Amino acid sequence: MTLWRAKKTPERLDFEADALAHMDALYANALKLTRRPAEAEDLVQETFLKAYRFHDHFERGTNLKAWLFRIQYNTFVNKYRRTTKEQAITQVLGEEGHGHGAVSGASMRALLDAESSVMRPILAREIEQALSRLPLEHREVVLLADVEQLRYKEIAEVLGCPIGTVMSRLHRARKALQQDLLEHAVGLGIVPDSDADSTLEPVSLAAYRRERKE
Amino acid sequence: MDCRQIEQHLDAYADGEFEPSASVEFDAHLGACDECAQLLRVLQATKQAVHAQLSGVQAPASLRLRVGRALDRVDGRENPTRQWGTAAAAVAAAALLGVSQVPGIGARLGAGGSGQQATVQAGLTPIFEDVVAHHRDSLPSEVEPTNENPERLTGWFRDKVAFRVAPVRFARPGMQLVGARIGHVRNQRAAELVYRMGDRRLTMVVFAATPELTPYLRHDDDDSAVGLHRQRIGNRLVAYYNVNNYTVPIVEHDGIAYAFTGDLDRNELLQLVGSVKLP
Repeated sequence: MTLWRAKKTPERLDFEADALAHMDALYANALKLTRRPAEAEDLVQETFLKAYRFHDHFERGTNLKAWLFRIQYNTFVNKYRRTTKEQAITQVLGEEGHGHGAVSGASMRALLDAESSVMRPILAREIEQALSRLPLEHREVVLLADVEQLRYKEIAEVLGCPIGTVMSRLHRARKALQQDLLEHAVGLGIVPDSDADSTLEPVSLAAYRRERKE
Repeated sequence: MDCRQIEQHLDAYADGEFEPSASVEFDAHLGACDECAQLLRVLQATKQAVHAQLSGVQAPASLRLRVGRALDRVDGRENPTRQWGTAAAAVAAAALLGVSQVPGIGARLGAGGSGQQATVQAGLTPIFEDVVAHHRDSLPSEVEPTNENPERLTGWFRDKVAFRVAPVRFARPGMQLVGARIGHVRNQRAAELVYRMGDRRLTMVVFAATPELTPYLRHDDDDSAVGLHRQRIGNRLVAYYNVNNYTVPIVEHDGIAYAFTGDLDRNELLQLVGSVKLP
Protein backbone atom coordinates (compact mmCIF):
# COMPACT_ATOMS: atom_id res chain seq x y z
CA MET A 1 0.00 0.00 0.00
CA THR A 2 1.06 3.51 -0.74
CA LEU A 3 0.76 6.31 1.77
CA TRP A 4 -0.90 9.39 0.41
CA ARG A 5 -0.50 12.80 1.84
CA ALA A 6 -3.71 14.33 0.61
CA LYS A 7 -7.20 12.96 1.04
CA LYS A 8 -8.36 11.26 -2.10
CA THR A 9 -11.60 11.91 -3.89
CA PRO A 10 -14.11 9.04 -4.25
CA GLU A 11 -13.41 9.13 -8.00
CA ARG A 12 -9.74 8.63 -7.38
CA LEU A 13 -10.37 5.74 -4.99
CA ASP A 14 -12.67 4.08 -7.53
CA PHE A 15 -10.10 4.52 -10.24
CA GLU A 16 -7.39 2.97 -8.10
CA ALA A 17 -9.54 0.03 -7.14
CA ASP A 18 -10.77 -0.68 -10.67
CA ALA A 19 -8.20 0.56 -13.16
CA LEU A 20 -4.90 0.20 -11.32
CA ALA A 21 -5.74 -3.46 -10.76
CA HIS A 22 -4.82 -3.97 -14.42
CA MET A 23 -1.33 -2.50 -14.12
CA ASP A 24 0.51 -5.83 -14.33
CA ALA A 25 -1.35 -6.77 -17.50
CA LEU A 26 -0.82 -3.36 -19.09
CA TYR A 27 2.86 -3.38 -18.20
CA ALA A 28 3.33 -6.89 -19.63
CA ASN A 29 1.65 -5.79 -22.84
CA ALA A 30 3.61 -2.52 -22.98
CA LEU A 31 6.84 -4.50 -22.67
CA LYS A 32 5.88 -6.55 -25.71
CA LEU A 33 4.93 -3.44 -27.66
CA THR A 34 7.93 -1.26 -26.84
CA ARG A 35 10.48 -4.02 -26.12
CA ARG A 36 12.16 -1.73 -23.58
CA PRO A 37 11.30 -1.66 -19.87
CA ALA A 38 11.88 2.07 -19.64
CA GLU A 39 9.56 2.89 -22.51
CA ALA A 40 7.03 0.37 -21.25
CA GLU A 41 6.91 2.23 -17.93
CA ASP A 42 6.36 5.54 -19.69
CA LEU A 43 3.63 4.02 -21.83
CA VAL A 44 1.78 2.57 -18.85
CA GLN A 45 1.98 5.84 -16.96
CA GLU A 46 0.63 7.72 -19.94
CA THR A 47 -2.15 5.17 -20.36
CA PHE A 48 -3.32 5.61 -16.78
CA LEU A 49 -3.08 9.38 -17.00
CA LYS A 50 -5.26 9.43 -20.08
CA ALA A 51 -7.70 6.96 -18.57
CA TYR A 52 -7.93 9.05 -15.42
CA ARG A 53 -8.45 12.30 -17.28
CA PHE A 54 -11.07 10.80 -19.56
CA HIS A 55 -12.68 8.31 -17.21
CA ASP A 56 -16.04 10.05 -17.61
CA HIS A 57 -15.90 8.80 -21.22
CA PHE A 58 -15.82 5.24 -20.01
CA GLU A 59 -19.21 3.55 -20.21
CA ARG A 60 -20.05 1.80 -16.99
CA GLY A 61 -20.84 -1.85 -17.48
CA THR A 62 -18.50 -2.24 -20.44
CA ASN A 63 -15.13 -3.89 -20.09
CA LEU A 64 -12.67 -1.64 -18.27
CA LYS A 65 -9.68 -3.83 -19.09
CA ALA A 66 -10.44 -3.68 -22.82
CA TRP A 67 -10.88 0.09 -22.57
CA LEU A 68 -7.49 0.50 -20.88
CA PHE A 69 -5.83 -1.75 -23.44
CA ARG A 70 -7.41 0.30 -26.19
CA ILE A 71 -6.00 3.54 -24.78
CA GLN A 72 -2.59 1.95 -24.44
CA TYR A 73 -2.59 0.46 -27.92
CA ASN A 74 -3.68 3.73 -29.53
CA THR A 75 -1.14 5.70 -27.54
CA PHE A 76 1.57 3.32 -28.63
CA VAL A 77 0.55 3.33 -32.27
CA ASN A 78 0.25 7.12 -32.41
CA LYS A 79 3.43 7.81 -30.58
CA TYR A 80 5.88 5.14 -31.51
CA ARG A 81 4.91 4.28 -35.04
CA ARG A 82 7.75 5.98 -36.84
CA THR A 83 6.28 6.74 -40.23
CA THR A 84 3.07 5.93 -42.00
CA LYS A 85 5.20 4.32 -44.71
CA GLU A 86 6.59 1.78 -42.26
CA GLN A 87 3.09 0.95 -41.12
CA ALA A 88 1.87 0.45 -44.66
CA ILE A 89 4.61 -2.14 -45.18
CA THR A 90 3.59 -3.91 -42.00
CA GLN A 91 0.01 -4.06 -43.16
CA VAL A 92 0.91 -5.49 -46.54
CA LEU A 93 3.02 -8.15 -44.87
CA GLY A 94 0.26 -8.78 -42.40
CA GLU A 95 -2.45 -9.32 -44.94
CA GLU A 96 -0.49 -11.09 -47.67
CA GLY A 97 2.43 -12.65 -45.90
CA HIS A 98 0.89 -15.85 -44.61
CA GLY A 99 -1.52 -18.12 -46.38
CA HIS A 100 -4.20 -20.35 -44.97
CA GLY A 101 -3.28 -23.82 -43.83
CA ALA A 102 0.24 -23.71 -45.20
CA VAL A 103 1.28 -26.67 -43.09
CA SER A 104 -0.67 -29.85 -42.52
CA GLY A 105 -1.66 -31.20 -39.17
CA ALA A 106 0.70 -34.11 -39.70
CA SER A 107 3.71 -31.84 -40.20
CA MET A 108 2.64 -29.66 -37.31
CA ARG A 109 2.79 -32.68 -35.06
CA ALA A 110 6.54 -32.10 -35.03
CA LEU A 111 5.92 -29.12 -32.74
CA LEU A 112 4.48 -31.33 -30.04
CA ASP A 113 6.15 -33.48 -27.51
CA ALA A 114 5.97 -37.11 -28.64
CA GLU A 115 4.38 -38.41 -25.45
CA SER A 116 2.01 -35.62 -24.51
CA SER A 117 0.08 -33.00 -26.39
CA VAL A 118 2.11 -30.02 -25.16
CA MET A 119 4.59 -28.09 -27.21
CA ARG A 120 8.18 -29.33 -27.09
CA PRO A 121 9.84 -27.19 -24.38
CA ILE A 122 12.78 -26.37 -26.63
CA LEU A 123 10.32 -24.74 -29.06
CA ALA A 124 8.11 -23.16 -26.42
CA ARG A 125 11.13 -21.20 -25.22
CA GLU A 126 11.37 -19.66 -28.71
CA ILE A 127 7.82 -18.35 -28.66
CA GLU A 128 8.68 -14.87 -27.49
CA GLN A 129 11.24 -14.50 -30.27
CA ALA A 130 8.86 -15.87 -32.87
CA LEU A 131 6.14 -13.52 -31.71
CA SER A 132 8.44 -10.53 -31.95
CA ARG A 133 8.92 -11.30 -35.64
CA LEU A 134 5.21 -10.95 -36.35
CA PRO A 135 3.82 -7.63 -37.58
CA LEU A 136 2.48 -5.47 -34.74
CA GLU A 137 -1.21 -6.06 -35.53
CA HIS A 138 -0.71 -9.83 -35.50
CA ARG A 139 1.46 -9.92 -32.41
CA GLU A 140 -1.03 -7.87 -30.45
CA VAL A 141 -3.99 -10.05 -31.36
CA VAL A 142 -2.20 -13.18 -30.10
CA LEU A 143 -1.18 -11.46 -26.88
CA LEU A 144 -4.71 -10.23 -26.22
CA ALA A 145 -6.26 -13.62 -26.94
CA ASP A 146 -3.78 -15.97 -25.30
CA VAL A 147 -2.02 -13.96 -22.61
CA GLU A 148 -4.85 -11.65 -21.56
CA GLN A 149 -7.53 -14.15 -22.59
CA LEU A 150 -9.87 -11.46 -23.87
CA ARG A 151 -12.97 -12.41 -25.87
CA TYR A 152 -12.97 -11.63 -29.60
CA LYS A 153 -15.48 -8.85 -28.98
CA GLU A 154 -13.11 -7.23 -26.49
CA ILE A 155 -10.11 -7.62 -28.77
CA ALA A 156 -12.11 -5.92 -31.53
CA GLU A 157 -12.74 -3.04 -29.11
CA VAL A 158 -9.07 -2.75 -28.22
CA LEU A 159 -7.88 -2.74 -31.80
CA GLY A 160 -10.82 -0.79 -33.16
CA CYS A 161 -11.59 -3.31 -35.87
CA PRO A 162 -14.45 -5.73 -36.72
CA ILE A 163 -14.59 -9.16 -35.07
CA GLY A 164 -14.04 -10.76 -38.49
CA THR A 165 -10.70 -8.97 -38.72
CA VAL A 166 -9.75 -10.24 -35.29
CA MET A 167 -10.52 -13.79 -36.40
CA SER A 168 -8.54 -13.62 -39.62
CA ARG A 169 -5.57 -11.90 -37.97
CA LEU A 170 -5.54 -14.43 -35.18
CA HIS A 171 -5.68 -17.33 -37.60
CA ARG A 172 -2.86 -15.96 -39.74
CA ALA A 173 -0.78 -14.96 -36.74
CA ARG A 174 -0.94 -18.39 -35.14
CA LYS A 175 -0.16 -20.10 -38.45
CA ALA A 176 2.84 -17.84 -38.93
CA LEU A 177 3.94 -18.51 -35.37
CA GLN A 178 3.69 -22.26 -35.85
CA GLN A 179 5.49 -22.07 -39.18
CA ASP A 180 8.28 -20.06 -37.58
CA LEU A 181 8.63 -22.57 -34.74
CA LEU A 182 8.64 -25.45 -37.19
CA GLU A 183 11.44 -23.82 -39.16
CA HIS A 184 13.30 -23.39 -35.90
CA ALA A 185 12.78 -27.08 -35.18
CA VAL A 186 14.25 -27.92 -38.59
CA GLY A 187 17.17 -25.61 -37.84
CA LEU A 188 17.78 -27.48 -34.61
CA GLY A 189 17.68 -30.76 -36.51
CA ILE A 190 14.87 -32.20 -34.42
CA VAL A 191 12.54 -32.33 -37.42
CA PRO A 192 13.49 -33.43 -40.93
CA ASP A 193 13.46 -30.67 -43.52
CA SER A 194 10.56 -32.03 -45.52
CA ASP A 195 8.15 -31.60 -42.61
CA ALA A 196 8.49 -27.84 -42.68
CA ASP A 197 8.04 -27.57 -46.42
CA SER A 198 4.41 -27.01 -47.19
CA THR A 199 4.88 -27.86 -50.86
CA LEU A 200 5.68 -31.41 -49.79
CA GLU A 201 2.47 -31.71 -47.87
CA PRO A 202 1.02 -34.63 -49.91
CA VAL A 203 4.24 -36.57 -49.29
CA SER A 204 4.19 -36.06 -45.57
CA LEU A 205 0.50 -36.83 -45.52
CA ALA A 206 1.22 -40.10 -47.31
CA ALA A 207 3.94 -40.83 -44.79
CA TYR A 208 1.48 -40.12 -42.05
CA ARG A 209 -1.07 -42.55 -43.51
CA ARG A 210 1.60 -45.24 -43.91
CA GLU A 211 2.53 -44.73 -40.32
CA ARG A 212 -1.04 -45.23 -39.24
CA LYS A 213 -1.30 -48.56 -41.10
CA GLU A 214 1.73 -49.93 -39.34
CA MET B 1 -18.48 -29.03 -43.01
CA ASP B 2 -15.30 -29.93 -44.82
CA CYS B 3 -11.76 -29.83 -43.48
CA ARG B 4 -11.07 -26.42 -44.96
CA GLN B 5 -14.08 -24.83 -43.25
CA ILE B 6 -13.20 -26.53 -39.99
CA GLU B 7 -9.62 -25.34 -40.20
CA GLN B 8 -10.66 -21.75 -40.85
CA HIS B 9 -12.86 -21.68 -37.77
CA LEU B 10 -10.71 -23.81 -35.56
CA ASP B 11 -9.33 -20.78 -33.72
CA ALA B 12 -12.78 -19.60 -32.69
CA TYR B 13 -13.60 -23.15 -31.60
CA ALA B 14 -10.42 -23.47 -29.52
CA ASP B 15 -10.93 -19.99 -28.06
CA GLY B 16 -14.38 -20.97 -26.84
CA GLU B 17 -16.13 -18.42 -29.01
CA PHE B 18 -18.82 -20.80 -30.25
CA GLU B 19 -22.11 -21.51 -28.58
CA PRO B 20 -22.27 -25.14 -27.45
CA SER B 21 -24.97 -25.76 -30.08
CA ALA B 22 -22.66 -24.54 -32.83
CA SER B 23 -19.83 -26.73 -31.57
CA VAL B 24 -21.69 -29.94 -32.26
CA GLU B 25 -20.72 -30.04 -35.93
CA PHE B 26 -17.13 -29.40 -34.97
CA ASP B 27 -17.11 -32.12 -32.34
CA ALA B 28 -18.46 -34.60 -34.88
CA HIS B 29 -15.89 -33.71 -37.53
CA LEU B 30 -12.97 -33.68 -35.10
CA GLY B 31 -14.00 -37.07 -33.76
CA ALA B 32 -13.77 -38.54 -37.23
CA CYS B 33 -10.87 -36.62 -38.86
CA ASP B 34 -7.36 -37.24 -37.54
CA GLU B 35 -5.85 -34.46 -39.62
CA CYS B 36 -8.13 -31.78 -38.14
CA ALA B 37 -7.84 -33.26 -34.66
CA GLN B 38 -4.09 -32.95 -35.02
CA LEU B 39 -4.40 -29.30 -36.02
CA LEU B 40 -6.55 -28.68 -32.98
CA ARG B 41 -3.99 -30.29 -30.67
CA VAL B 42 -1.22 -28.12 -32.14
CA LEU B 43 -3.41 -25.05 -31.81
CA GLN B 44 -4.19 -25.80 -28.18
CA ALA B 45 -0.54 -26.50 -27.46
CA THR B 46 0.42 -23.19 -29.11
CA LYS B 47 -2.14 -21.25 -27.09
CA GLN B 48 -1.05 -22.92 -23.91
CA ALA B 49 2.65 -22.30 -24.63
CA VAL B 50 2.09 -18.62 -25.43
CA HIS B 51 0.22 -18.24 -22.17
CA ALA B 52 2.82 -20.11 -20.15
CA GLN B 53 5.76 -18.23 -21.66
CA LEU B 54 4.36 -14.72 -21.53
CA SER B 55 2.02 -14.36 -18.59
CA GLY B 56 2.86 -13.63 -14.98
CA VAL B 57 4.81 -10.42 -15.62
CA GLN B 58 4.58 -7.97 -12.73
CA ALA B 59 4.86 -4.23 -12.97
CA PRO B 60 7.79 -2.90 -10.91
CA ALA B 61 6.86 -1.30 -7.59
CA SER B 62 8.53 1.92 -8.71
CA LEU B 63 6.01 2.16 -11.55
CA ARG B 64 3.12 1.98 -9.08
CA LEU B 65 4.65 4.88 -7.18
CA ARG B 66 5.16 6.89 -10.34
CA VAL B 67 1.60 6.38 -11.53
CA GLY B 68 0.28 7.30 -8.08
CA ARG B 69 2.26 10.53 -8.11
CA ALA B 70 1.17 11.32 -11.64
CA LEU B 71 -2.47 10.94 -10.59
CA ASP B 72 -1.79 13.21 -7.62
CA ARG B 73 -0.70 15.89 -10.07
CA VAL B 74 -3.92 15.55 -12.01
CA ASP B 75 -5.90 15.84 -8.78
CA GLY B 76 -4.10 19.04 -7.86
CA ARG B 77 -6.15 21.23 -10.18
CA GLU B 78 -4.18 24.40 -9.63
CA ASN B 79 -1.05 22.59 -10.80
CA PRO B 80 0.66 24.18 -13.81
CA THR B 81 1.30 20.75 -15.34
CA ARG B 82 -2.17 20.80 -16.84
CA GLN B 83 -1.31 23.96 -18.74
CA TRP B 84 1.89 22.35 -19.90
CA GLY B 85 -0.17 19.55 -21.35
CA THR B 86 -2.03 22.06 -23.45
CA ALA B 87 1.16 23.79 -24.51
CA ALA B 88 2.71 20.44 -25.40
CA ALA B 89 -0.31 19.50 -27.47
CA ALA B 90 0.06 22.75 -29.39
CA VAL B 91 3.74 22.08 -30.00
CA ALA B 92 3.04 18.51 -31.11
CA ALA B 93 0.24 19.65 -33.39
CA ALA B 94 2.46 22.32 -34.89
CA ALA B 95 5.19 19.74 -35.47
CA LEU B 96 2.74 17.34 -37.09
CA LEU B 97 1.35 19.98 -39.38
CA GLY B 98 4.78 21.25 -40.21
CA VAL B 99 3.83 24.70 -39.05
CA SER B 100 6.98 26.75 -38.99
CA GLN B 101 5.62 30.22 -38.42
CA VAL B 102 4.27 29.63 -34.93
CA PRO B 103 6.27 32.07 -32.81
CA GLY B 104 8.10 30.67 -29.84
CA ILE B 105 7.66 27.06 -30.81
CA GLY B 106 10.82 25.18 -31.49
CA ALA B 107 13.64 26.38 -33.67
CA ARG B 108 12.98 25.42 -37.24
CA LEU B 109 16.06 24.47 -39.14
CA GLY B 110 17.00 23.52 -42.64
CA ALA B 111 17.27 19.80 -43.25
CA GLY B 112 20.90 18.77 -43.27
CA GLY B 113 22.99 15.66 -43.76
CA SER B 114 24.21 13.89 -46.83
CA GLY B 115 24.17 10.14 -47.41
CA GLN B 116 27.71 9.66 -46.09
CA GLN B 117 26.85 11.23 -42.78
CA ALA B 118 23.69 9.28 -42.34
CA THR B 119 25.30 6.18 -40.81
CA VAL B 120 27.21 7.99 -38.09
CA GLN B 121 24.31 10.28 -37.45
CA ALA B 122 21.98 7.34 -36.96
CA GLY B 123 23.91 6.48 -33.78
CA LEU B 124 23.46 9.89 -32.19
CA THR B 125 20.02 10.84 -33.44
CA PRO B 126 18.00 8.57 -31.12
CA ILE B 127 19.67 10.13 -28.08
CA PHE B 128 18.52 13.58 -29.11
CA GLU B 129 15.13 12.35 -30.23
CA ASP B 130 14.61 11.07 -26.70
CA VAL B 131 15.52 14.48 -25.29
CA VAL B 132 13.06 16.22 -27.62
CA ALA B 133 10.35 13.69 -26.78
CA HIS B 134 10.62 14.65 -23.09
CA HIS B 135 10.04 18.26 -23.94
CA ARG B 136 7.24 17.60 -26.39
CA ASP B 137 5.36 15.10 -24.24
CA SER B 138 5.58 17.30 -21.17
CA LEU B 139 4.37 14.62 -18.79
CA PRO B 140 3.37 15.85 -15.35
CA SER B 141 6.24 16.42 -12.97
CA GLU B 142 6.83 14.03 -10.10
CA VAL B 143 8.52 16.47 -7.79
CA GLU B 144 8.24 20.23 -7.67
CA PRO B 145 11.37 21.92 -6.43
CA THR B 146 11.91 25.64 -6.75
CA ASN B 147 14.95 27.83 -7.18
CA GLU B 148 14.83 28.38 -3.42
CA ASN B 149 14.96 24.75 -2.29
CA PRO B 150 17.16 22.90 -4.79
CA GLU B 151 18.14 20.32 -2.15
CA ARG B 152 14.63 18.88 -2.43
CA LEU B 153 15.41 17.98 -6.02
CA THR B 154 18.74 16.36 -5.21
CA GLY B 155 17.16 14.34 -2.41
CA TRP B 156 14.30 13.15 -4.57
CA PHE B 157 16.60 11.86 -7.30
CA ARG B 158 19.14 10.31 -4.91
CA ASP B 159 17.83 6.75 -4.99
CA LYS B 160 16.46 6.97 -8.52
CA VAL B 161 19.39 7.75 -10.76
CA ALA B 162 23.06 6.78 -10.49
CA PHE B 163 24.36 10.35 -10.52
CA ARG B 164 23.80 13.47 -8.46
CA VAL B 165 21.12 15.77 -9.77
CA ALA B 166 21.10 19.45 -8.94
CA PRO B 167 19.62 22.43 -10.73
CA VAL B 168 21.83 24.39 -13.08
CA ARG B 169 22.04 28.18 -12.93
CA PHE B 170 21.37 30.41 -15.87
CA ALA B 171 22.80 33.88 -16.28
CA ARG B 172 19.47 35.05 -17.61
CA PRO B 173 17.08 36.24 -14.89
CA GLY B 174 13.56 34.89 -14.55
CA MET B 175 14.36 31.23 -15.15
CA GLN B 176 12.11 29.44 -12.70
CA LEU B 177 12.64 25.76 -11.91
CA VAL B 178 9.12 24.33 -11.74
CA GLY B 179 9.26 20.57 -11.93
CA ALA B 180 11.21 17.38 -12.46
CA ARG B 181 10.58 13.75 -13.19
CA ILE B 182 12.31 10.52 -14.10
CA GLY B 183 12.85 10.19 -17.81
CA HIS B 184 14.77 7.90 -20.12
CA VAL B 185 17.45 8.36 -22.72
CA ARG B 186 18.15 5.24 -24.73
CA ASN B 187 16.73 2.96 -22.09
CA GLN B 188 18.78 4.51 -19.31
CA ARG B 189 17.24 6.50 -16.54
CA ALA B 190 17.60 10.23 -16.86
CA ALA B 191 16.53 13.24 -14.83
CA GLU B 192 14.19 15.66 -16.54
CA LEU B 193 14.05 19.20 -15.14
CA VAL B 194 11.62 21.81 -16.36
CA TYR B 195 12.22 25.54 -16.20
CA ARG B 196 9.80 28.26 -17.13
CA MET B 197 10.45 31.74 -18.38
CA GLY B 198 7.12 33.54 -18.57
CA ASP B 199 4.87 31.31 -20.66
CA ARG B 200 7.68 29.36 -22.27
CA ARG B 201 9.27 26.11 -21.17
CA LEU B 202 12.81 24.86 -21.19
CA THR B 203 13.46 21.17 -20.62
CA MET B 204 16.82 19.94 -19.38
CA VAL B 205 17.57 16.23 -19.53
CA VAL B 206 20.48 14.96 -17.45
CA PHE B 207 21.91 11.52 -18.16
CA ALA B 208 25.11 9.52 -17.99
CA ALA B 209 26.83 10.32 -21.28
CA THR B 210 26.78 7.25 -23.51
CA PRO B 211 30.03 5.88 -24.97
CA GLU B 212 29.05 6.88 -28.52
CA LEU B 213 28.37 10.43 -27.41
CA THR B 214 31.22 11.17 -24.99
CA PRO B 215 34.08 11.47 -27.53
CA TYR B 216 32.20 14.15 -29.43
CA LEU B 217 31.62 16.22 -26.33
CA ARG B 218 35.20 16.17 -25.10
CA HIS B 219 36.87 18.10 -27.88
CA ASP B 220 36.13 21.17 -29.93
CA ASP B 221 36.80 19.85 -33.43
CA ASP B 222 34.31 20.14 -36.21
CA ASP B 223 31.78 17.32 -35.85
CA SER B 224 29.16 18.73 -38.18
CA ALA B 225 29.64 15.62 -40.33
CA VAL B 226 27.89 13.58 -37.62
CA GLY B 227 25.26 16.22 -37.07
CA LEU B 228 26.84 17.87 -34.04
CA HIS B 229 27.35 21.58 -34.66
CA ARG B 230 29.18 24.14 -32.56
CA GLN B 231 28.68 27.81 -32.12
CA ARG B 232 30.80 30.25 -30.19
CA ILE B 233 28.91 31.95 -27.38
CA GLY B 234 31.16 34.39 -25.52
CA ASN B 235 34.34 32.41 -24.92
CA ARG B 236 32.63 29.01 -25.03
CA LEU B 237 31.89 26.68 -27.91
CA VAL B 238 28.42 25.23 -27.44
CA ALA B 239 27.67 21.92 -29.15
CA TYR B 240 24.16 21.37 -30.44
CA TYR B 241 22.22 18.86 -32.46
CA ASN B 242 19.22 19.47 -34.71
CA VAL B 243 16.44 16.92 -34.58
CA ASN B 244 12.71 16.96 -35.36
CA ASN B 245 12.86 20.73 -35.87
CA TYR B 246 14.31 21.28 -32.42
CA THR B 247 17.75 22.52 -31.52
CA VAL B 248 19.30 20.55 -28.68
CA PRO B 249 22.41 22.12 -27.12
CA ILE B 250 24.41 19.69 -25.00
CA VAL B 251 27.22 20.07 -22.50
CA GLU B 252 29.14 17.39 -20.67
CA HIS B 253 30.79 17.49 -17.28
CA ASP B 254 32.34 14.59 -15.40
CA GLY B 255 30.65 11.98 -17.58
CA ILE B 256 27.22 13.51 -17.17
CA ALA B 257 25.49 15.03 -20.17
CA TYR B 258 23.12 18.01 -19.89
CA ALA B 259 20.89 18.40 -22.93
CA PHE B 260 18.45 21.26 -23.37
CA THR B 261 15.56 22.07 -25.57
CA GLY B 262 12.68 24.47 -25.35
CA ASP B 263 10.22 26.84 -26.87
CA LEU B 264 12.94 29.27 -27.88
CA ASP B 265 14.65 30.04 -31.13
CA ARG B 266 18.07 28.59 -31.71
CA ASN B 267 20.06 31.67 -30.93
CA GLU B 268 18.22 32.38 -27.71
CA LEU B 269 18.67 28.77 -26.63
CA LEU B 270 22.38 28.73 -27.41
CA GLN B 271 22.88 32.01 -25.53
CA LEU B 272 21.12 30.54 -22.55
CA VAL B 273 23.16 27.34 -22.54
CA GLY B 274 26.39 29.21 -23.27
CA SER B 275 26.04 30.97 -19.93
CA VAL B 276 24.87 28.01 -17.87
CA LYS B 277 26.60 27.13 -14.59
CA LEU B 278 26.61 23.38 -14.05
CA PRO B 279 26.27 22.05 -10.50
